[in-house]
Amino acid sequence: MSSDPVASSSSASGSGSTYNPSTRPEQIDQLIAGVDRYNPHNLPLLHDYLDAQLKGEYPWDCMAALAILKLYQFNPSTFSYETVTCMLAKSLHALPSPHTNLCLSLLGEAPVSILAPATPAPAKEEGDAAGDAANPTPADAAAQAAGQSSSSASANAASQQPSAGILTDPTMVKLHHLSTLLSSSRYPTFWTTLRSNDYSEVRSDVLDRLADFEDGVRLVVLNGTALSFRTISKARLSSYLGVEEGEVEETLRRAGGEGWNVRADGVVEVPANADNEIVKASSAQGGVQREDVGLADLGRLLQQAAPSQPGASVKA
Amino acid sequence: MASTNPQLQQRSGAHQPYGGEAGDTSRQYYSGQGVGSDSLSDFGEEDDLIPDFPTAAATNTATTTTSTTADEAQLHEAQQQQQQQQAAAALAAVPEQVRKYIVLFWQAVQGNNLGEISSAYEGSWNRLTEKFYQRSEWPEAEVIAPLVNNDSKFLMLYRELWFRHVYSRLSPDGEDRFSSYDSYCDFFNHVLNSDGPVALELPPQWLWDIVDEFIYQFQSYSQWRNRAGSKTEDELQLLQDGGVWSSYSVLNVLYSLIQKSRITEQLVAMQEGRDPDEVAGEFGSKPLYKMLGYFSIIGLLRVHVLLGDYTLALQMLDHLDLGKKSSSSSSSLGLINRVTACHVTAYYYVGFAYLMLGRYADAIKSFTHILVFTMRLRQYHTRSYQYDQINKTVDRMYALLAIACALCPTRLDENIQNTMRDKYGEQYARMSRGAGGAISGSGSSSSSASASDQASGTEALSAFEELFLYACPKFITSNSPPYHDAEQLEAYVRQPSMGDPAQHQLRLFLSSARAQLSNAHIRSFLRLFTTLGTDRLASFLGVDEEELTETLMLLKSSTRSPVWASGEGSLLDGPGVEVVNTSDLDFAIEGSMVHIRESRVGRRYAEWFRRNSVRMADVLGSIQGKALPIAAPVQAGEPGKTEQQQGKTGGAAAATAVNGTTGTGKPAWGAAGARTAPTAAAAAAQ
Repeated sequence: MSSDPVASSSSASGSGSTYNPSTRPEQIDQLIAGVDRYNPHNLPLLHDYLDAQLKGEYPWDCMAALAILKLYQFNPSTFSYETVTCMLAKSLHALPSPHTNLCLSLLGEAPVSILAPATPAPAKEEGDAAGDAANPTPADAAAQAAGQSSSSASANAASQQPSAGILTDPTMVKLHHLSTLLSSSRYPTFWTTLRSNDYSEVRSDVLDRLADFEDGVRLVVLNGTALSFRTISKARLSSYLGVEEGEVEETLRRAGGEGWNVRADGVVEVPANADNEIVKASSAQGGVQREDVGLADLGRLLQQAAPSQPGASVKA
Repeated sequence: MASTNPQLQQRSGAHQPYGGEAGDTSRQYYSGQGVGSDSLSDFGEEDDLIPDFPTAAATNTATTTTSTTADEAQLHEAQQQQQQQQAAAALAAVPEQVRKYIVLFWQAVQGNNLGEISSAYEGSWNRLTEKFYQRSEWPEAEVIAPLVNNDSKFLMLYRELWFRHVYSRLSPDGEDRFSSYDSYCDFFNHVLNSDGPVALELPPQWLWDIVDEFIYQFQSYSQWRNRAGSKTEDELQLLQDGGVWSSYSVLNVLYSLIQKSRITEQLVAMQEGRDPDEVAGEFGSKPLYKMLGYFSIIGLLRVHVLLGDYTLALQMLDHLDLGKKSSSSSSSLGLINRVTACHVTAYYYVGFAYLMLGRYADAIKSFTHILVFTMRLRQYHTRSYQYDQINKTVDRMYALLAIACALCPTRLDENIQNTMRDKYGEQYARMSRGAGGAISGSGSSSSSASASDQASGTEALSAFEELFLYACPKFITSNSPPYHDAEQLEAYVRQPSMGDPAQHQLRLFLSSARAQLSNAHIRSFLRLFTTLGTDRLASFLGVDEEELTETLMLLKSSTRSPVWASGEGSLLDGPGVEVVNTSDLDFAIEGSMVHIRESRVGRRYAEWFRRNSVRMADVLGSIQGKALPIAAPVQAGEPGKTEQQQGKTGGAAAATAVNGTTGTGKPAWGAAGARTAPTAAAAAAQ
């Protein structure tokens, strides 16, 4: 399940399964490893595997998803919009690994709306581009800026327009935005954005098709929090988890796993790990990296320094 | 018009020659200048029957439409003679030097004489290009064919060089691009689809260049093809064939080379300590195939990066052992180091892939490794055409290194750091300053940030953009504008539905860089304290406490990155990759207190000291072991001292002490200094 205990996304801490999870079925593994991955007839197989991931039967598998995108890149007629948006949504669970960006970087040729090239034309001219005032975008400030700067001929006009790479398809842009918020640790903003009216389509079209989307995100949040915090107030944690204060305990139990301990005084203890160790200034572990020179390294030096005995042969 | 047929038939019937003259005028016709205007005017109304003067073989079809074979044969023969004369004339136009060179080259290739081939390929080709063909094409393969007995193998190789010259010095047009694709197909077909391994041996440099150029031309074609607005009729016609230079065919070639040579199996065997020849198979044991397979791996690394697939690119190198150990691995499979261009290219793409994966520490390591390497190599690399290209890549790597260091400050080797500052100091300063205003969070930074903060943020981003666009690979798209449909094409030209891939990658990169702009600012504050309340810090920075906390979390997560630390195993994933702290600054938050720890690297002198002591002892030993010039015979009385003043070692002194007066004073160096004949000295002393 995507809400495996901390261990599963500690795969992000490099136990070898960030890109190639050990849960991947043998068949898919062989498919991706060889030249068969370029054969578009294998798409149904890969689609099924992705569906299983969306349902929560398998954890997120980056390389398999990228294989699908590569096939879309080489065979544009096979492009499937729903698959791509669901994939992008699911990749949010892999944070802090940059899987969302990796997926987007293979989507440069996707048949969706894109930014116009940097011409003097105002930013509003793209097809169903989000620069259209009637279509409110997540970053309203940016949209206004796009409107204001439409008179300027510089490429900055296009760059003000919200986009995921050069893609301006609204859903993809929004998903990218969510990914950016999560990876910059803007958790409260993430939840407010996710729940805003703007995003109702994203929620209904995409996110609801994923099993346990929110809990998967909460796991990401908890891992991110565990990096920095040793103890954290319940109020703050609840804002990070996007739940009411009263529900924190239950959420932790459901989504978090071991080590999170809610104390009576409203403080939550974060599981100890290497990253959030507090080293007091007074402790001896000053943190100065000293050199480590072993006796073996000095062996030759010492031999040469030893005075040679009469009659003794000198070893080089 | 009153077409050729009747005329020819007429001719066949009554042997009525052109111009009404008797006899076999066909030869007269085709003897070039012999055909004067008089015969033409004699022709009367049918003067347009005379085709364009047969300078090109293609136009012969005008005359050889369905007709009886006899006349056809005659015409054909005359045409051939014409062609031959032309060819001979063209060949005579080729300078003597070039002709000699081609013959020698051909003989070297035939004889599989690697040394000769190397010098002909690397040295003479470039010299002759400089001398004769700086602005023009080399003679066509057909022209020089007689010199090499029409050896198709050699001509294949010659064509490859011919096209490479066109691409590098001149500007290839659509026709050239298609023809060079054909010539590559010929070559690879020959190599891959012959019954057994081909009996050809080429130096590694050339093989790398073939693969490299193949991909370069693919890249160049993609970009040319995407410029849909400026194609001529002919080019549009050619572009209908979507199979030429398609991604699938390029990938097919590279994967086939890998499979045929079984290079992956060989590399795995090497890793496990077994003998690669056992698994090499018939083709893979030949050096030509082994090298082509190896270089194709690097080629695939490059192609995947060009198409935006960074993880697959890194996975290509799974068994390649990019770590330093490869330099000491067996000669044949340490290929990456033998061909400098290959080495540099590989590291460039690996480093770039790491950069796009957000693994800045790994990127920095890759870049510094290769930059140190090229710095040392600079003195040895005099071959100009390679040198320029390598230099350009080196420059770009410095730019990427600046980007990576701005995002992940690391201590660099001093030389590298100085060079980087020299080249990109200004941009680096902008990038590393980041933006204080970025602390106040997503998208709405304009409201709370001060003007200068905002400005520095924009400046930083523009510096990132500038360097990125300069240094990134020339990304390509796999798909092409809709040339098959004129209407769609027109619509496309007006409003392209495919964007610039470089812009796409740039923006994705900037979106992740933008998020990290706040790091530098916070870091500078954190260095000042060991413990600090978040509220105090927030007030220093003039931001809301919650936002500050989030920014701190961001800083922390930016410094946690997977690093390929062990030097073994896959670059992308796997046991060799672990998440480490890439910064010297670390902190943890307890409630509202931030506890900061800064680790300093203690001054390292042991290694330097040890190395130099050992070296000094070695030097000393070698000096002591050397014989002195013959010394003057020793006088009684002051024997030892004069010797010491002459020589440095006690060895010779001991010897003369033995030969000279016995029982004299020991040399001041004593037995400790004497390396030679210590026993003699001891015996003498006794």
